[in-house]
Amino acid sequence: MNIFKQFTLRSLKENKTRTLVTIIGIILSVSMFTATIEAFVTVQNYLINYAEMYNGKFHVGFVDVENDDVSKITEDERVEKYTYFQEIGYAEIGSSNEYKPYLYIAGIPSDFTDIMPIHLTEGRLPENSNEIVVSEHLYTNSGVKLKIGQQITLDVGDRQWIELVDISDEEYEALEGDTWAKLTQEYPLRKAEGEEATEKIVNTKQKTYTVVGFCLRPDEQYLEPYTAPGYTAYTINEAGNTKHSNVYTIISQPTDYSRFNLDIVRGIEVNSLINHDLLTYSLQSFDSAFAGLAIGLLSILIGLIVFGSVSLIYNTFSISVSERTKQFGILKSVGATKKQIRKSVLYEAAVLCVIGIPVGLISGCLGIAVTFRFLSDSISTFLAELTDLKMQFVFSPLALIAASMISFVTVIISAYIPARKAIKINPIESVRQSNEIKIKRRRVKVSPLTGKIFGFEATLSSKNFKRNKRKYRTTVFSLFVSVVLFISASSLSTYFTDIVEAESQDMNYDVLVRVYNNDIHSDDDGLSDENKALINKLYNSLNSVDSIDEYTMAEAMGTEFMVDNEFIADEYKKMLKAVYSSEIAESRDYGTFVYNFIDDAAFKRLLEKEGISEKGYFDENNPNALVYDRTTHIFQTGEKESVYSVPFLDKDKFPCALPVSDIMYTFEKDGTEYYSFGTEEINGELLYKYDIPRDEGEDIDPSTAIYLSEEEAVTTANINIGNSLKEKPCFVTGQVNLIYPESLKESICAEYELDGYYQMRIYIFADDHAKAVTDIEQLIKDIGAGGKMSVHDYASEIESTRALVTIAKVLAYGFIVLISMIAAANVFNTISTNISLRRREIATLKSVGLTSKGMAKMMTFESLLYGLKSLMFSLPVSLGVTYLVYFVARDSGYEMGFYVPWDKFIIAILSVFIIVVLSMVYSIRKVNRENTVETLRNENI
Amino acid sequence: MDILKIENLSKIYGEGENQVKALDNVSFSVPKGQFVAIVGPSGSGKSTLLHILGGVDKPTSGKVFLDGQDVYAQNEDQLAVFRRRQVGLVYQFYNLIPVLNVTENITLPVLMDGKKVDKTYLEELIGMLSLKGREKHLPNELSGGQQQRVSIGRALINNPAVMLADEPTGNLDSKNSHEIVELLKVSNKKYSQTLIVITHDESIALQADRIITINDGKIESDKLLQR
Ligand SMILES: Nc1ncnc2c1ncn2[C@@H]1O[C@H](COP(=O)(O)OP(=O)(O)OP(=O)(O)O)[C@@H](O)[C@H]1O
Ligand SMILES: [Mg+2]
Repeated sequence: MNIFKQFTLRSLKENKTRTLVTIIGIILSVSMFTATIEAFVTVQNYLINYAEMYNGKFHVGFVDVENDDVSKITEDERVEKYTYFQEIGYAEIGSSNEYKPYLYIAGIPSDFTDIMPIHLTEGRLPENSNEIVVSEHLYTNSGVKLKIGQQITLDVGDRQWIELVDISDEEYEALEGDTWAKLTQEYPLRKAEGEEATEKIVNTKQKTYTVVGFCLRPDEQYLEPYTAPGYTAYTINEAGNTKHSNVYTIISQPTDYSRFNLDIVRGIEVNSLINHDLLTYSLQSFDSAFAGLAIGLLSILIGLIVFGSVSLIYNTFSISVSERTKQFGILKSVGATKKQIRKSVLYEAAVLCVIGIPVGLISGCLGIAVTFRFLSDSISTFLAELTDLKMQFVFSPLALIAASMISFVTVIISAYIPARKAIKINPIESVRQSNEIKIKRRRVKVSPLTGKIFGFEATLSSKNFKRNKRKYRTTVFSLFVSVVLFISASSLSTYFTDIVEAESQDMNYDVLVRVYNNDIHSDDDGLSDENKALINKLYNSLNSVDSIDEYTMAEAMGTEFMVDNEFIADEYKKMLKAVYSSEIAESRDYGTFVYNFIDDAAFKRLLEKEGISEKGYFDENNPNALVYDRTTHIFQTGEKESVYSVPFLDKDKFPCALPVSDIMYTFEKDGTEYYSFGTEEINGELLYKYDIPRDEGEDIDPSTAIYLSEEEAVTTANINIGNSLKEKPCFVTGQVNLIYPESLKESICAEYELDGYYQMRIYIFADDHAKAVTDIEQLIKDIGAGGKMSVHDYASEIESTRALVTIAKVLAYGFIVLISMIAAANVFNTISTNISLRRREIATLKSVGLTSKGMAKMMTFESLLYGLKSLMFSLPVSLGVTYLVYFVARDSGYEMGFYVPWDKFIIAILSVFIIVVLSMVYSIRKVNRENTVETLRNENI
Repeated sequence: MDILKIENLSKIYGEGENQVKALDNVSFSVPKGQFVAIVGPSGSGKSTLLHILGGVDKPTSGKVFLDGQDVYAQNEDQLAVFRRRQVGLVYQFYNLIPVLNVTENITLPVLMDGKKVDKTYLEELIGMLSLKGREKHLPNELSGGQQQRVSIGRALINNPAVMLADEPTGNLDSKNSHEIVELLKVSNKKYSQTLIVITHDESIALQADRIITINDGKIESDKLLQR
């Protein structure tokens, strides 16, 4: 073996503690790299699997492509693979959902599921064009029950506008607009509330199909639109089918999806579907705010790890090299070349890597595998719908290679930089180590106060500190790095978990039942009497359902009021200022008020929970309102999303009689109805313009317009506000929520002339929410409201977001623990080597009579110096990094307050002193164990 | 023929008030095979001179020629090889590598060259240095004199053209010191090595061919001894 290698290996053996700490440092940083990269790859892989399973493997899909145009897509050279489904036709199926009366028969190629998902719940896929697989919601939503093996005969044809059926050419010419459109799944049933449909099935052919399987409802975004009038049934496509298709493509360069999409969409004028989830997760597209945030935080994370490991490993080597500067000098003086010494340092680094990296890789993989195993249940509930998709730890050799490479380079660089310095100086200087003790007289002046207060020993250590700045700087620097790492890692984690928690705060009931409003597209219009009756009927029969623990019905009516500036919360004004860069211009601003009525018992429970007395709340003549007032506003400016969660009203004013006003929308004069057209300033007076109805965009006509003064046009009222609720009740939906007991509904509606939109929802609490959902769905069918009400299982969503919070917390705390370990190892390492480098000095002091008490004093004083010096720099820098983290989080659109992490500062300060003192005690003990003369002798060799 | 030629060598430490002129415009030359003793009071610049001759320190100004080659005109790597093969340096403080044993410390320059060690010569050397039985010992297990002998062995192992020794007998009793000087002289005669020894011991100085006295960084006298 080469003499240099021997020399290196022996030096490593000689300094066991330092070698061990260095190896531990390498292990820690390699395992953190491994864990971070593996975690990233595993989660990414899971999300990709999830997206592929749920949305399909395609990148870009095209909707309702004419048969002639299909080849223009599939023959594009960028397309690597594709699949499609082609319309065979619609058939009446006897559905109880009046907006979804058809079965939609889609012809697919036999390898359709290679790209697009069909989630069979029973049976098998079709094998020929006489077999079909039917979506499950045909039964749950329309009540049509089919069985596997059952043969059904259907009249399959095209949807056609009634106007277009059996009309003459002249009549056809006269038709306009929408009527030309071909009716596909993209077009909801042509039917207005309470009227007959204006379409029918034509060109029918009789077909017989055998049901061979059932599948989950096809994806709303990519396969069967929510408003589609037909329940999808898949069969193998018929030869010679010339109808339009949906084509789903996988392209060879996913990054160019946007260009490809645009080319096709412009070329053949179709609508397209982009598999954003898949593209985002496979890092081909960075559109979403979440991707930006994830990548921003991940970068900071990796940056912190790199910083931590480099400084730990760098410190170790810089100490080990400076300790051996003398030896390098001797080697050089007997003829070692620079290259030989450099090689020996790199060899040392390599030896440490050979031990540290494999152990780090293994422990990193094990650690993250165990973590994911522990978390896999939480993660699976997080994405509840397809429960069979378990998160699998992905063993990625590439990730391991990347982690080893990063770590190896880190170690080599850390070893090389200090070695270069040691090699540069000339041999006799390094033999004398004169560069290590460059003493300048003026520097050694120690304040006489130090000696007076702390004694001679303090003077000594203070001189030491000043003379030997370089060595101490390493320790102070490692302390500095540790504090910065700890504080920034914890603030990163805090912001991260805060964001996740904020994202998941909204729901606080298990199941929500809503009645569909008259128009399927919006549920904000008034409810029909029929629907009101239905939901009341359901409400009254819910007590028969055992799986429900508790339930409340809330009715909500909304209106807009103007509120005086002085009652508006500062936070709200600030938000407007930030978003529109303007103050609230006028003296008042519009707010949306929602009147919520809940049954009296539920109202009392609410008061009790919040610790508010009933006084004033049931007073029919002058009732107080409970208020919940905090809304999340989302503003989209370009790609950036800003989210604010602010109240509208100033809580400090509560309780109060809140004056609200409203401009009259209509105004009747001499039997004519006038409508509000805004305000205008005339002769310094603000006047309210009214005119007879006009077409959109048209201004008022001065000949018919009238101007009203404020007193005439603005109605005012007072709302008695009692207390503000701390916790968000389950049913609130609007901006300012006023909550009243049901028994006061009539008097309040009368008083405020409420006629805004009207909602009725039933909020249900159930432990076994899944069973409750099934029971309620059955009950809805039983009372004949099938297809008219929706049942949402929010509990499963809450569970999933809770799971996400758990995941976030486990990962965040794991990260903090590891980073703190690196930091502590770093500090321990520098201090202990520093002390052992001073063996000779300490031995000399002891040989001339320094007592162990004196030594303790000296070390205490030094610890104090280390601690104070490092904190002086690290606390402000940590504050800066915390702000950076805050800035990244805010920049990604999560509005939140910046706060100084005092608790972390205190932990950091305490830990600094504890670690410093412990390392000191350990090293001094070790030095003390040595024989004074031995030490002196050894150092003289 | 002069193997060593020193021209106007100066070495200045520090700046301004703290400035120390360790060597002040020193010039002399040494013919091949000569045994030179350098004497002078403590702090006069002897070690400084020797270090510069050995290529381990750099002069502030002036030149050193060894075998006609300007020593400090060489680059770092050439200088390293120069130190390894041309000169043997024995330090006043022995400067051994603590993690290497006696044999390894002695053979270090050969090993560094990647060459095979001449076993018989090594054994002979160890015998001459009275280090038999100590081959496997680490430096901290040796006495001061033994350590000094190891560093002499290390300087001799490559049969350098010039042997530089800084008080090689400073820690030895008179019998031992006599042996060491004999050893150096044998090597000086046998391989016609040039030998430069710093010493405070007059009896050693008197065995030399030439005595150079240094005072305050300058050559005070330069005497050839006739015998
Ligand atoms: N690294 C240095 N920095 C500053 N001054 C130095 C340095 N090395 C030596 N000197 C000074 O240079 C002068 C010559 O030192 P040198 O070691 O050559 O003396 P010496 O003749 O070998 O003495 P001794 O017989 O005591 O070993 C001394 O005055 C010394 O203080
Ligand atoms: Mg000397």
